Amino acid sequence: MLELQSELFSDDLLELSGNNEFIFKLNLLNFDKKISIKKNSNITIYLSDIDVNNLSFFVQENAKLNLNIIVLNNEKSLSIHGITSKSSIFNVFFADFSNSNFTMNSNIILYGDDSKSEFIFSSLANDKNKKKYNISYSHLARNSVSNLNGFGVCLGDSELDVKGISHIEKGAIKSNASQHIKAILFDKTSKAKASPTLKIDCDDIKASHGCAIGSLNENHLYYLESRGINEAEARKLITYGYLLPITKYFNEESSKIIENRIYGSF
Amino acid sequence: MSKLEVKNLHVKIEDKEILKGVDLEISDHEMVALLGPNGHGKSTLLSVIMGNPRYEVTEGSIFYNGKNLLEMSVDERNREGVFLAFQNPFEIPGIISMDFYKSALNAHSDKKVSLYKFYKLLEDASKEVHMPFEMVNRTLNEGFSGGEKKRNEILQMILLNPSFAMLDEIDSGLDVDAINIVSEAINKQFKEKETSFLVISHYARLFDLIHPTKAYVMINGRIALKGDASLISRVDKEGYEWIKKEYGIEIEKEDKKVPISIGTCATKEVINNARTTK
Repeated sequence: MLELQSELFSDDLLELSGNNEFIFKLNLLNFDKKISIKKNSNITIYLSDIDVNNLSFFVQENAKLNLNIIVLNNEKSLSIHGITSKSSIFNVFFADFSNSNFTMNSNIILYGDDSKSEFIFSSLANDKNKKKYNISYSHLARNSVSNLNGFGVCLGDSELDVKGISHIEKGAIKSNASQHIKAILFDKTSKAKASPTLKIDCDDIKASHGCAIGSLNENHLYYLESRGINEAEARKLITYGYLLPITKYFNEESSKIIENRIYGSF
Repeated sequence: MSKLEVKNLHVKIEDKEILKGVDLEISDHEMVALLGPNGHGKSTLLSVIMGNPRYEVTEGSIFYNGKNLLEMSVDERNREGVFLAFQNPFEIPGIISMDFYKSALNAHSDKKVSLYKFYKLLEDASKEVHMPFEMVNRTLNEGFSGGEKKRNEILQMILLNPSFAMLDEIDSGLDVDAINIVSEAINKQFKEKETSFLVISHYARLFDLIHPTKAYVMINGRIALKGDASLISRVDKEGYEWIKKEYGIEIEKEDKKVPISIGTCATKEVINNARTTK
C-alpha cells in the first residue's frame, strides 16, 4: 500500500492509475482537491484523520475506485463529489465511529452509461454526538446503478440524521436506484431520522427505498436470551451485528481498528 | 418427583386469555407429546414456560426442579436447563451463527470455553444434524431454508445439553430424511443425556420415531385429556371430534382475523368488527 506524500499535491489535480491501494493522510489536504482515476485502473483509497475537506473524484472510463473512509477521532465534516464515466465504478465505504459530531455531504453523478456506485455506511453515535449525512445520486446516464445502504446505532443522547436522494433524470433509462437505511435506538434519549427520497423523471427504470428505525427487536432479544445469553450481552451481539458488516469492505488492519472501536464502545 | 410442574396456569396477551387453567406434569427422563387443534394454546404454553415477555401470567405457577420459573428471566431459565426449539426461529441479521453459539456456550460455563473444545463440540453437533460446517459462518438463520432452521435449533439443543427440551413443531418444514435425522438426535439426547422432552407435533410420523410415553391434549386453553401413546394413535386416526362426543368438550374455532389489504373493504371490516364487539 502506498502512502501519498505532500509533493504529489503540488497541483490541484492528482491522477492515479494502475492497480493500487493508497493511504491518504488528510492533514495534507486541508483545502479542495481533485483526484482523477485513469482509464481501466483499479484504485482503493483509504481516508482517515480527516479535518475539513472537500474532495472531488473523477472516475474515467472502465475504471474502479473504492473510497474507504474511517472516521475515529474528532473529525468535523467531509464533502465528496464524484463523477463516473462509461462503465466505471465508484464505491464509498464509510465507517463513522468517532465520538464527535460529524457531517458528511456526498454527491455522486452517474454520468457515463453502465456506471455504478455503492455508498455503504456504518455509524455509531454516542453521548451527545450529532451526525448528519446528506447523500445524493444523480443518474444522468443509461443503465446506471446506485445503491445506498446504511446502518446506524445511536447511544445516549446522540442524534443521527440521514438524507438520501436519488434522482433519475430524463434519458437515464434502464437505471436502478435503491436506498435502504436502518437505525437502532439504544437508549430512550437517542434520536434518529432517515429520509430516503427518490425523484424519478424517466420511465423504464427500477427504484426502491426504505428505512427502519426503532429500538432493539424484542423478538431477537428473546431468542438470544432463550439460549442463556443475558440481556446486556444479547444487546451487544445484536448491535455488533448491525455495525460489523462494514468491516468486510476494509483491509485486515482497518477492520481490526473498526472492530476494536465497536467492542470498546459498549 | 416431577421435573416440571405447571399448576392452574392462566395467561393472557393483550386482554385475551389464551391459557385458562393449565395443569401439566413432566417427570425426570420422560418423553411427553402435546397435542391439540391449532390455536388452542400449545405454543403459548411453551413460550410461557420459556418466559416470552409478550405473555402475561395472571394466575398459577410453573416450578422446575422445585424452583419457581416465573421468578426467573428468560436467560436464567435456559441456564437452569430449560430449552425451547422455536417453531419459527428468528432471523437475526449481522450476527454470525458461530459467534452466537460461542456466546451461548460461554453463558453456560463459569469460564470461557476453549477454542479447541468449542470447535470440537460444534463440529460434532453439525455432523449429528447433517449440517455443513460452513453454515456456522453464516448470519443466524438468515437465508436458511425451513429445514435448515429446524436443524439449527436441534444443533443448539445438542450444544447446550438442556435437562428439559421443548420442541415446537420441530418436524414442520422437514422432509422425510430430515425428520429421521432430527428424531435420531432427539432419541440420542433422550437416551444418553436423559433429557426430558415436551414435544408439539401435528403428525404421528415424528411420534412414531421418538416414542412418547405420555400425551396431553390441549383444547380451549386447558388440558382436556391426558393418556399414554395410544392417545396419539387415536388422534392421528380420528382427529379431535370424538373428544366432543365422548367428553362433551366443545372445541372453539380458531379466531382468524383476515388482514385488511387491497381487495378488502376496510369500511365493511370496521362495521363488522363493531358489530361483533357489541
